Amino acid sequence: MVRPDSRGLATTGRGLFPWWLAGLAWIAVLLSAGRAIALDPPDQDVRSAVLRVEVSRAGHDWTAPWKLLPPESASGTGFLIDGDRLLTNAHVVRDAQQVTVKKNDGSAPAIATVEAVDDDCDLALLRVANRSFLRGLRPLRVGDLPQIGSSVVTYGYPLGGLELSTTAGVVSRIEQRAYLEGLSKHLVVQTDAALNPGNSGGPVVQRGLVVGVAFQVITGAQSIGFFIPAPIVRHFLDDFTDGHYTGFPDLPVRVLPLSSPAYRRERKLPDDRSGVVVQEIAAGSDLGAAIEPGDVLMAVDGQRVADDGTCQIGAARAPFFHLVDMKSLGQRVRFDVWRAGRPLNVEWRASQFPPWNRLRQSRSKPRYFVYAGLLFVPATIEYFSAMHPVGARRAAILHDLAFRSWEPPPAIDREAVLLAHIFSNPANAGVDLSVPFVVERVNGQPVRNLADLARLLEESHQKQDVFELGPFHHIEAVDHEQALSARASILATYGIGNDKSL
Amino acid sequence: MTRVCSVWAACIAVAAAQSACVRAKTTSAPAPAPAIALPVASPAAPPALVDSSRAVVVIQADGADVDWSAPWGSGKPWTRTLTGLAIEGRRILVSGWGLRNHRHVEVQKPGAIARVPARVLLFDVDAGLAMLVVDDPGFWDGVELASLSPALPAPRPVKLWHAAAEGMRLESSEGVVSRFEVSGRCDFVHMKISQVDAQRVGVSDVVSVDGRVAGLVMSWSNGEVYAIGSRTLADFATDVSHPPYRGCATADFMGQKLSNPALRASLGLGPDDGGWLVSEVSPLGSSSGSLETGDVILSVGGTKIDSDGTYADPGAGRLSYASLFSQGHHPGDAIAVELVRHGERQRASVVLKRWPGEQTLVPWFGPDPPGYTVRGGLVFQRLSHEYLLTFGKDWENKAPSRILEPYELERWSSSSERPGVIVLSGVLPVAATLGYEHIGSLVVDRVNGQPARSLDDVRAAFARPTGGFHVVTFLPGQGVARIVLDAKETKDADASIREKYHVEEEGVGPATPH
Repeated sequence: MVRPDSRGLATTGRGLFPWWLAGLAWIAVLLSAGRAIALDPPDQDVRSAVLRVEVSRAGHDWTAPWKLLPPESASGTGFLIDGDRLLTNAHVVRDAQQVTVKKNDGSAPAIATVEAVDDDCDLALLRVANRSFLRGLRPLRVGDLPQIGSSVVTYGYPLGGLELSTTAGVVSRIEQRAYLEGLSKHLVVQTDAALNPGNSGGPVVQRGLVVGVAFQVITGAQSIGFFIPAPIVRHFLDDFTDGHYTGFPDLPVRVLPLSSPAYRRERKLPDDRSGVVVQEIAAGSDLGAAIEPGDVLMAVDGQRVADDGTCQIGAARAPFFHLVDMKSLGQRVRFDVWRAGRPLNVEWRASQFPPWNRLRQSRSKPRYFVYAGLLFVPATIEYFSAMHPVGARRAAILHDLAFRSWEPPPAIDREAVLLAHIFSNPANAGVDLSVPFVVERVNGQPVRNLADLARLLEESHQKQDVFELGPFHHIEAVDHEQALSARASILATYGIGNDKSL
Repeated sequence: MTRVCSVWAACIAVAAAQSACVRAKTTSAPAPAPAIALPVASPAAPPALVDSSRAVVVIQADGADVDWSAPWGSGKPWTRTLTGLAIEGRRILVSGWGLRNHRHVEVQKPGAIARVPARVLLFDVDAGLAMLVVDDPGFWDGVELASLSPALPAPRPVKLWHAAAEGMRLESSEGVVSRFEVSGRCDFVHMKISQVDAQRVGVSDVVSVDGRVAGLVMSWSNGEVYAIGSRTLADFATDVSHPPYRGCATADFMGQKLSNPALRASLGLGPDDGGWLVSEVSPLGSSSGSLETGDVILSVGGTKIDSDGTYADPGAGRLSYASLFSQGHHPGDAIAVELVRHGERQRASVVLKRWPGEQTLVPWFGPDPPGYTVRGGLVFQRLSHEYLLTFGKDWENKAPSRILEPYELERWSSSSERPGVIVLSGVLPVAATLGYEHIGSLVVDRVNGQPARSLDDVRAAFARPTGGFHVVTFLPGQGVARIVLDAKETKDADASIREKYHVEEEGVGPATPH
């Protein structure tokens, strides 16, 4: 019997558990030279607007959250757009401590700063301090979603050389896919144009207009590269026009294609209607006021949803989630649903689901709290990926990351806090366990999040602070006075600048 | 280093060894129990056996494991050669899990061509011990019966007797008993034997010292062998000879060390009281009703427990408190426990119970005979550790988290309201399941509104469709929450499933003979 991946059926905008934990062989790319198909001859204006982006990066050490990892260098591609800004991928400038950009005219590089970044759609805006550096370059304009089968040309600085490289191919498919840098699925365009490490952030051009930004490939496959299509790029740019970036909305729902005739009959859905069946709505989401599990979602803003969950997007078909993706926060979304045997119109204002925002830690500094040499961190995907906990610990942490948002009670401000490390010190002598543990209670009080834990300990009047840890009711205690008096020496001994980052 | 010690943790580890032996005959070992010093003294000299090799017999077993990803068919057939030990009553002792899913067993004398059939009188999967009977009197000519001696001193060299070349040759190799540990589902004391030639070790090999039987091999890993001692074997043999068989019993609670002075202070314990803190008590186990989370166990059967959870055993050195419940005891025995509860010293009595393996929420072994239910192409199974193994070698990372969760966090618990976890393991595509071909590995919540906690629940619920439909709902967070089947199509599907996939509606595969 084939063991199917149940997630394949249920699509979701965000919050689907991250694919890299499922071990998919995906990498984010930076591009390389390919076949010379001279369908759209490289235009000199386009060529000169494509810059090499070089980055010195030092990421956070999620296992020692006050520290940065040793710096390393990386490179990718960026291109000039209106407003003297360069567009590139978020992953190109991830953890960047310094960014330099280099034109392909032989001139010296210039220092750039990151003006806006969104891991979720893997895009970033750079600005070059030296205005004269970009003088004479013509900014590229962002076009539209390309037609399937149409030709595209990519520009970038893939490995294998230092000069600008172009490759050509066709638009193979348009669909929604996981963006590896974030936690979400968005529209992607697949192309057979060769994309290699270094191509990331490079423009994909058709008839002189940017139709996408190259960003990831499937390793082990042949000629399967992906670019971020123009509508997603435009959403990112439009969002930033007021100088305040908010991001894409979440549609915290899971649906099942209505391919079962029995399900259709049970829902009493007439033959001339189509749609998908709502399976789950995240607990505590405002979407729950508009749609309900069991609803057949028939149309979004008047666009008919097919039984497989797709809508017509230009000449292509893509999951209806894309229609919601294109909204700004606060914008109205109209759903036609089939509920209790009759059609119904419901409305929802596009929003983000707070617990999923909390999971997107990588944009912010890691949070932690050190008390009596015990290191506490929130359960995040970064921590989970760095530590690979096993067995019951894995199950306890994963529950928080993967399931909590789908089951009651709503956990809007609740996060699992982990005891992640013990810095040996007389203040914790005898605390003898293998980390991580989930901190369930401190001095009898339930722990709602990391800040809550810090407050409970700092305001404690107990002689011994008692920690109830899970799974399986492990208990530890430290002497409160000793914990306070040992703080300075613990931080000094282990080179921790601050006892907390909340 | 494992810093948190518990009975259950030890049991989990040996369980891993079990599966290795049963499934692939690869080697694995129990996780170490808390560090134990080398034993100090030897008990009284046991009766001598002139030559233990003459009590060693060869067992040839045929069987077929269940393919839990398609439980309606028989899995791959296997043939195994094991070593066994002839004992009084014309019986043969076998250790390990090599006889799991056997169909036919024969025995032979080492080097002899002739084989005679043997009956499996008893196979205790918890203990990993089996007793065979050979009725043919001719077989016993020239076979010495081993006397099972009490525990033997360590460290000292031992001999391992191994049936090689498919039983045509008896080989011996040497090793050294380095220490004793408490492990396994039954919390038995195991000998750890080092410096062993891994090429010459097999399941149930006989361990001897100076011609006396010291134990039988349970598992091995990295040149270290875990063997069950002859004291435990003798106890098992006596139990089998006096029906009804009582089997082993353990305390069935998890606990932690109390070596943290601040923790001791917070619990009101003096620095020299020793004690072991109870963290979780299995509702199905021996201690349920007599011990509670938060109890501090000071002594078991009159023996004081130190703050690392060990006591000084006169023969084996420092051993986990767990063996004070298990060793030499059986279900029905009452063990006196001295404890501190809510700051007050109390006495309690733990009446040992046999571990109800099949009744645990996620049993180790799948049901025997293999149970499943197919309705309209939907395949339902009860979640077991054996089922999880169908996700492959890396099953702990490959199996969906929702399926792993009850195994990781709740497998020892169970109640009449929740006797098991039912999984929709997959879909056999037929007309009734159109649209559901790609779903599977989902934890079921309800069928037709009725809680589905056993295959009986599933069968009963499918007998009562609602409004001409069958509705199956799943636990949250799995993406698919609810599916619908047409009741009539479901009924009609059964014949075509039989025809197309050769699958019966219910799992009635061959049972292991006991």
